[in-house]
Amino acid sequence: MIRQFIAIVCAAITALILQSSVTVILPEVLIPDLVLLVVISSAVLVSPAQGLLVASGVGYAVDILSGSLFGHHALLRLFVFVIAYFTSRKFHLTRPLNLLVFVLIISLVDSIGTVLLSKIFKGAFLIGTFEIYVAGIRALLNAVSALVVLATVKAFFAFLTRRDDQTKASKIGAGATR
Amino acid sequence: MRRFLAGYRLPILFGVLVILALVSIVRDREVEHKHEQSSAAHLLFDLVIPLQGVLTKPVRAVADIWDDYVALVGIKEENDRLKRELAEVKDHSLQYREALVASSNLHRLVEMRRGFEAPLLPAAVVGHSLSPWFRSVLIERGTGSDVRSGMSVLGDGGLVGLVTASSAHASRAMLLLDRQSAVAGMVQRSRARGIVRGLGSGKLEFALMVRDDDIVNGDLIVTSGLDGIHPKALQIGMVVSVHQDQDTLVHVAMLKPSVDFGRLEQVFVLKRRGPTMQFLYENEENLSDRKPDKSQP
Repeated sequence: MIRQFIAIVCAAITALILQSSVTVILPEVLIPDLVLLVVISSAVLVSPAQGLLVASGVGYAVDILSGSLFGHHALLRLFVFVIAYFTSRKFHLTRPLNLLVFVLIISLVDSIGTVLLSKIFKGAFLIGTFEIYVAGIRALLNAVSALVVLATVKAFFAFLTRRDDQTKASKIGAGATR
Repeated sequence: MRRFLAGYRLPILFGVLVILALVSIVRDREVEHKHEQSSAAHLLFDLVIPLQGVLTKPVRAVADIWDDYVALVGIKEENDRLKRELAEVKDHSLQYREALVASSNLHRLVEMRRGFEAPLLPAAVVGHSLSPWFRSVLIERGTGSDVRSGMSVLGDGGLVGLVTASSAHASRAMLLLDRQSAVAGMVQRSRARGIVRGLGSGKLEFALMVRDDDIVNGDLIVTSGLDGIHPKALQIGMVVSVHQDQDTLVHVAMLKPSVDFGRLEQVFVLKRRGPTMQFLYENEENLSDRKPDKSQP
């Protein structure tokens, strides 16, 4: 359980750093929201309590690194996680098509949420023609990248879990020989 | 009670986190522009920015290898150096022209000279905003180098934005392109004043206060200094189109920014706050230092 939590936290931090660094050479429109995808992956892979904490923490990190109000993305990521969690129980988000459609829709919902929260709390209306275009492109990119991100996080989980099982097996073996 | 908490553990956790987020938002909105970052934000800045710097260097190195190969070894470096020198010369020329055009008053010239002498601190850009809705950059200078919120950030071509948060070793600067950005500007030729706003995309909008103000395509827009945030005469952009609508009180011009925001690698922080920012930040600190007067009922 602890290893799973550590794995998802590491994945979230990696996504955070990677996304922010690649923007140096690529325009933001062409970069998928890796942090959002890790939050959706956590809905499939970890327990709800762990996922809520990760979603909240990573949201606060995005707020600090992006210039939004502190708590803005934390709130959005919490709701994304909850929606993803319940959707995955009903529609099995491990299936590629289900995941693709879900990520497409949730990315657009996330964009709408960002605009609404900014309007409510800052009075700033962030939407314009350019932003609609960006939201659409990003939703498509997120959908395409979701499978890769989920597979990567799953592989990392499997690697850690296998190590965890090996450690437990060796301890049980050591206990049996005594 | 324990059974209740155990049974509703997850909804309670969700509720607590949502309330925490809402409280953070409201609190941050109230203290925005008045205080520096909290210690948690400082920690995250100081943790993430150096890691980003480590990752950004090889990424840039790969991009630079291609550029250097195509542009031939040495020529690109020389070109970059010449561009920097030209930008500096252009900036000085603009400022001197401003001094002549604005007034022959010696006091004003002295004020502008003080503006010229404000120290500029170079800083590398190590990351951009994670969210495309908020246009900002992360730079690897912080309070340890005397970089503080409210300081102007300049580039080779002109004004880049404003520092909005800083920790010991890193800062975040909101770009001119951000939809929440608004800078007092003026047409350098006709002195028509207005507000330059970011549109989120690569262009800026210059909203003129008076409908009949003189502005045409090709005009250079500079900071007017009237907002008390940025110094006067910093290049903002060039007019590419003017939209005049007879039914509105103001008309709007679209600007092409002087700075190439897509290739922002190095910026300069003006290590002096404008009077408005000085009032907002330093006045708040002075007021909070005052002890309450207990003799008053």
